[in-house]
Amino acid sequence: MSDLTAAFGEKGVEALFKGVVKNFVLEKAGSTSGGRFSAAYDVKAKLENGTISLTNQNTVKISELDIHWLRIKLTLKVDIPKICTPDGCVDIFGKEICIPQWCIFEANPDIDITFDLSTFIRHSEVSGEVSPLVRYFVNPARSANLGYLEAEESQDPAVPDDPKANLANKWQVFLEPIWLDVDLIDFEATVDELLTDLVDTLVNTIFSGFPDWAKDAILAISGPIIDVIGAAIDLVDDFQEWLADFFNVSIGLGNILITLLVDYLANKSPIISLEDPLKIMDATNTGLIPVKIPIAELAANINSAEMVVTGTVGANLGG
Amino acid sequence: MAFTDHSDVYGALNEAGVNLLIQHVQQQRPSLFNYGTQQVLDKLKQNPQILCAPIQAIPNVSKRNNPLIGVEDPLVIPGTDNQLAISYLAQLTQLQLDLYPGEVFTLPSELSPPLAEQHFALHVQVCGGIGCPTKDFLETYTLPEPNKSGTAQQIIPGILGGGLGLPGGGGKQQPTVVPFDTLTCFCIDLFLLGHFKPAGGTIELLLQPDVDGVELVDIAPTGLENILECMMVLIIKIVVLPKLAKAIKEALVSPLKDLKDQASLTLIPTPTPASVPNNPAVEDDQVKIFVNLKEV
Repeated sequence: MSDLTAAFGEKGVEALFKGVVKNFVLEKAGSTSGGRFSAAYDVKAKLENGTISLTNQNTVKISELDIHWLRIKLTLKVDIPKICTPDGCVDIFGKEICIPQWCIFEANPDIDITFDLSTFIRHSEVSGEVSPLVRYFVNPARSANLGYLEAEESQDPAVPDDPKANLANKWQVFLEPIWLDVDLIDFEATVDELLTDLVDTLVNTIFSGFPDWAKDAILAISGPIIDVIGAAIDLVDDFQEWLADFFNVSIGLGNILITLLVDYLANKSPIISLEDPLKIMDATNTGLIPVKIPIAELAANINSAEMVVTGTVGANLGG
Repeated sequence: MAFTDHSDVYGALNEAGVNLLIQHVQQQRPSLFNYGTQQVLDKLKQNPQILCAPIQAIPNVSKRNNPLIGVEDPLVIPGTDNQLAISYLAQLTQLQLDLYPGEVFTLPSELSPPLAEQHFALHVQVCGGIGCPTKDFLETYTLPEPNKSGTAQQIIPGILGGGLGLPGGGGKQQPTVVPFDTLTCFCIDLFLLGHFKPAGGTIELLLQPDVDGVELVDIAPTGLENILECMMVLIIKIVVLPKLAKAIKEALVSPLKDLKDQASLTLIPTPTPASVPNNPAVEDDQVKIFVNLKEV
């Protein structure tokens, strides 16, 4: 029978969960290329909000956990095939009039533009289900003959900047994901806005030598131009398909996020962490040692009302 | 019925756990349960058998030079004008806590058994010892004559703690402590009846023990018993119980510290009787606490 019982209602579990996920940060950069498009990305995101519900299956269901994109920079480079007007000379009323060849899209790449998608990606979120997992952590830096007091007083070399990080053993309760799902980006909405930016860039690239009033006039009638160019090179469909493929397959941003989040929740960030032995009276400034009690048989279970953590008070401190 | 039906967080420690916790405190902080003079402490270093009851301490206590006993001033002998004092030792051993319903031990009739609802009882063996003077001291010692300032100064070689006052320094003269070879000891059983006051508005005021009665067993005459009980109430109520209650609170609240640290939530004791009938509650052989969460 356990000596110690602690129970956390749904509000308590939600607070513990939010306290953990708020420190999660995804930060990654890279590049990929293929066909007419090449791209580089630089993303940073954190998690916020989210609601939980406790189940009788020893799990917590998570929903509406928002991915807040702090940075999602996408640099696109597009090489459009060169298009030239025919050149040649014609004889009109005995006079030879020659028309020079005029080409566009001669550069490589023709378009080099960086978007910050974080301004218009609004509906990325995570849902899933997690289950409590209790682990007993023995710091690998702790030598076998190090006593419990010395371990508490020794700085953890893996976390040199945190003065509270020590080599004491710990009981840790994690929320281990059973499944997680990421609804990453609403591409339909995103592509429309992206293309507006893209057309602006395109017009400025093609008609770089034109005066501003002329470019403004062209932009005003850019709808038909988009249609013409888009139809010519199948840009819209290609771009939308490529963008979805880019995020989901090429860089697999959703999978990266899930992998990092699973590792974070199941291994890195416990919702409860108790030093063993557990300090119940502080050391004094006169040199009295702290009073600590060993904790044994820690367990955590969830039902539809609460998470219950139980343990026993051990007889021996050890070490 | 869920533990948290009427609060956000619930914590409980049963009496077996509390009694193990008390054992750990005794073994790691023996100076909280054993009090004596510096002379007793000095003798103890040479002869561990001098104690009235053995002190079980973990190796770290001696390794870190922690004292086995809390050092107190010797008892001044009345009529000596603060010039002569006697060593003593007081020990609280074998502490056992019984939480309602009482099953661990039987209360003496003076404390109206059985244990009342929401109450706890403490059984303590109290051992006391006096450092009675050696025969040589009694035959040779005389009180020194007071000096002009009205205080005596005498240094007796070989007498522990003798003449610590600074000659002419104007400081208070320390009494000469009667030398002794062994302590003259006794051990008696003490029973204490108590309850916890309703929790205050902060987590620090969650466990506030109060004493309802104390009974020393088989002490006569009644006047002596009352005097000793008075002393014991002071020591246990003012010194020991608050520290034990704080230790129990730490054991219960530690699993919640992540709520405070990570989730920026303040822990507030659940109000009584609006939300829960008793907080803390002493029932089912457990001490239970109920806590609500408030966003900072």
